[in-house]
Amino acid sequence: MEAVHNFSDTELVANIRLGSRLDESIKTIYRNYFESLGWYVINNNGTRQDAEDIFQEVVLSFIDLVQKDKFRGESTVKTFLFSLNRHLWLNELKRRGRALAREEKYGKGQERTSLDVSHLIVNKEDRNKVIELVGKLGDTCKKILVLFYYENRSINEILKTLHYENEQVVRNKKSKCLKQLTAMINENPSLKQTLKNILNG
Amino acid sequence: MDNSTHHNEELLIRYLDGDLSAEEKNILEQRLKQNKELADELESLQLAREAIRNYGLKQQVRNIHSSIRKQIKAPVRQMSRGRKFARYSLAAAASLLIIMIGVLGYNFYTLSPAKIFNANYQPYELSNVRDGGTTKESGIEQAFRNKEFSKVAELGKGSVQLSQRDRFLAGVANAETGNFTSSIDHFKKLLATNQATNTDTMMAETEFYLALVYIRNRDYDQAVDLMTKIHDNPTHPYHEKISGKLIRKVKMLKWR
Repeated sequence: MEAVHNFSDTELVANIRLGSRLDESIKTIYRNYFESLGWYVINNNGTRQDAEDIFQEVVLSFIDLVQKDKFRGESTVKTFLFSLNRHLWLNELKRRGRALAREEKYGKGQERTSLDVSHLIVNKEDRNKVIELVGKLGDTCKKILVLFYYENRSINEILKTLHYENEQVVRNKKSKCLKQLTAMINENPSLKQTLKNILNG
Repeated sequence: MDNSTHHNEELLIRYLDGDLSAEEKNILEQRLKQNKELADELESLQLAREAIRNYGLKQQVRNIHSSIRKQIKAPVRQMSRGRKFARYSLAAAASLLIIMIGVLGYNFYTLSPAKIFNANYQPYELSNVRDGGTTKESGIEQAFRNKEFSKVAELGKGSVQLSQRDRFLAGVANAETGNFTSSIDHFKKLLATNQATNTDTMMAETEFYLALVYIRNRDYDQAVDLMTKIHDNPTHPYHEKISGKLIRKVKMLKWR
């Protein structure tokens, strides 16, 4: 059985910022916060599925913000996650043309005052458009680019993982794939603008 | 694509990846300040990298989500007071229904002619006061008073000319000794005589005891007919003893 790591707030943020032990860090977030954040969604007009979808979005936004240095520990991780969760769920309700119930429900220990995170959060639809675009690349391209630019693997590691002849082949392939994606982005000005907003916050 | 464009792209990618030497980096950064086209190209590459980062992160979170969703505790929906009330009421009603069905089922399956007979049968008592002590007590009557039911049954068997009273006692005595066919026989003869002579000697008692013996003998239709007759007649001396519930039970016996 897999060992369970439970990181403190400080460790969690440090891991995410460095991109190290990300799997375990994400699992820590799930274990510590899914029940309480999901409670909020489910008890404010949502379903279990909604709670799961919103939570994924919360985790995504949190990691993104920490890595862009936009979370600097001004509040606890818990408060920050709760604020993200609340904001994302209220947005989703608005998008569906539904309002919150007369009285917003808070679970035990949930803070009624939440931070204003509206200016921080990337719109879910915008992010999905970007993700969809990358998804259109071939499988090999996706693998190489994710390994190199997301997982920060070296060319040598990729060589071993994907069994290429030599590093130069990997390097060439990576360049070709990146250029292909760049061309796809340049062909779509509105998406390019969206990406600029995401990148520059 | 000419060579210089290709060269620039490669240079920019190496810059993006942090692969340039300090000198190469310096030169490129100078060029980037002066060459907007080159700077735009770099920006496109940075956007592509950002897109990959978003894609990679989404994949990772999605994978962990699928692997961990079954292990983590699910959030619960808090029930509103109204809902809680409705749920508990429903639960209570359901329990009650189950209990009722259980009781009904139990009653149905434990229902038996003997059980109904025993629950409703009451020993017939002869009154102590005779009509002024003038009439002599018959042998059957004497034996009956001493609760010698077998003897009564025996005495009743031979005699063709029984008084209505003795015939009734013979009927009861046969019921007491478990000889239900003979009991029915005596009671029926009594009723027939009454009908023939247009009298009603021992009529009410006979109807009541005959109904019970019919039940015990599994002659349910005859029993129900007689019981209904008693039940429907408020002045019948045994009216109180034959309830609608009792009649329903006997009808139910037919389904067993």
